[in-house]
Amino acid sequence: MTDQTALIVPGPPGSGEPLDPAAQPCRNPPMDRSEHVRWFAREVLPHEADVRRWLGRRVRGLPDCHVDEIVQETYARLWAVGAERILNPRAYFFVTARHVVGEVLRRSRVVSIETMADVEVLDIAHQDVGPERRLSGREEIERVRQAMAKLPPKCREAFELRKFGELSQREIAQRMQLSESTVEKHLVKALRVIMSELQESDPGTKLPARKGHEYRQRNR
Amino acid sequence: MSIVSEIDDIEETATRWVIRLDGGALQDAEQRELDAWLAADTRHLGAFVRAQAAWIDMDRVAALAAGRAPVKPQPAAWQWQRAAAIAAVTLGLIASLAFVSSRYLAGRESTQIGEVRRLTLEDGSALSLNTASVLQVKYADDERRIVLREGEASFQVAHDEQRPFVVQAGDVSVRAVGTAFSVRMRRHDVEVVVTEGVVEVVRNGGTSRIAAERVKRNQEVVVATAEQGGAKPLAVAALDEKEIERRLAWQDGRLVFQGEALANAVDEVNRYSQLPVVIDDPGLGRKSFVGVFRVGDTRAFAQAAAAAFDAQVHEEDGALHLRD
Repeated sequence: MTDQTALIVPGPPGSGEPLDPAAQPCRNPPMDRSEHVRWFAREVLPHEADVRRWLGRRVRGLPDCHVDEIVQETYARLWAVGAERILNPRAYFFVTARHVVGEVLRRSRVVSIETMADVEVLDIAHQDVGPERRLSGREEIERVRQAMAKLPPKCREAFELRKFGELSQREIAQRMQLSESTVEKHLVKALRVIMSELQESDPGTKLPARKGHEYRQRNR
Repeated sequence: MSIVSEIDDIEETATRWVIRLDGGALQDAEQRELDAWLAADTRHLGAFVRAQAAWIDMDRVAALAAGRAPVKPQPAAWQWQRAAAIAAVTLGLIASLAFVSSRYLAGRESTQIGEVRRLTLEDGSALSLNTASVLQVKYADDERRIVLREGEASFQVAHDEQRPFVVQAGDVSVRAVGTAFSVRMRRHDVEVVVTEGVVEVVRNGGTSRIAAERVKRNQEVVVATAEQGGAKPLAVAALDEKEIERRLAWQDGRLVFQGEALANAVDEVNRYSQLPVVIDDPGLGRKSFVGVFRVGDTRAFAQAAAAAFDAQVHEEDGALHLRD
């Protein structure tokens, strides 16, 4: 074979840098901002309940370790990495959260980091959420409905009009005869309540471990 | 301030910004305030991203509710539907709910040359539409049908045994329950690559129907159109992980070449660009080429190829010519 083979890995236009994930912070992400947010909604958000459950077990009783704070920090890091470089969002979410906990613990010098061996994280992370572990549409609607039931009436009405009726905040203000800033307050409250409801573990999902158990029982 | 109320404070502020943005564009002063807040602490950014994602995600759930509720009553969701029905009547929302569902039923999506788009469907399935492609979403009660009219798309199918997911590309249909695969329409054939699970490929057109062929993870099948292929049986071929990654790199905005003939690489690059690359020297086209490029960055590709093979790039008549 006399043909030449060239190994060339050019970067984005004008940069002259190699396309090396590690060397390239999110300066020029191919996704625009709103697409990036949608990617988070689709690929990261569904795993948050599992990450929280895992974190809850890890950091219980440890000073300076607050699950909410670790989750916030983790989201910020995932955002900075950029969606296009994260091939397995679930695994990345777990591993990043673990790093954050590790840093907090090192700072506070409380516990040996061995309590959170990588092996354990990888185990969880690699129980890949296949499509069958996602909630069905009906279950999802049911969960949101339950969360909405906890909202005060006006707050709920504003939220329904915005998301289910597709009215703008201004139109909602006119229809409900409220000021726009009051509508805004209702929506803030609604989103907070719904987020805190949805961050609880998914009631409809089963862990693979439990599936295995059921399987064994059936075969007995 | 205790740590717990500080966390609460961050989430409250993050949520307020998300709702403020939802209400309309920020004024300059507000934008500066938001930027400063986000820059002050990484937790601020994290809470903000999270709240935004949750807010956006509600659109998908609302579309789900609107698209399905009227079609298929579920006893378990009775209260929800009654509540929704009352709300719809009293608030005069029937029109807008109908609009949401019909938008999904008749959804036509297309991309320009060089554009790659990701879309989420009402059932939670996701698809990426590659350059210069057109498809139509036809969701019904018993089937989720996608008609690929032109180009290429890849699918991650949400599991739903009651509603199989079928992609129709000309006279070829690909059927899945919950899996991931891509379908590309070419002039004379349709290529199907499976990355997860199993799909069933059928060709219906012409005088001969080719029976269902099961294609598994890391396999591909190329189906010639009826005029081209006649009754030739379908050939399923295995692909290694590297090849799969290469084939689907466009989803991440990359094109990967691992030793293909330069002429084939050029064909691939030209799919994504209004500024085609033309090889003037056939010998050059046969050389084997390796590289990774951003989709649409034709100039970088041409320059890299020229540098690799000691050739020249000339831009003439709206094309990049490669010659020795």
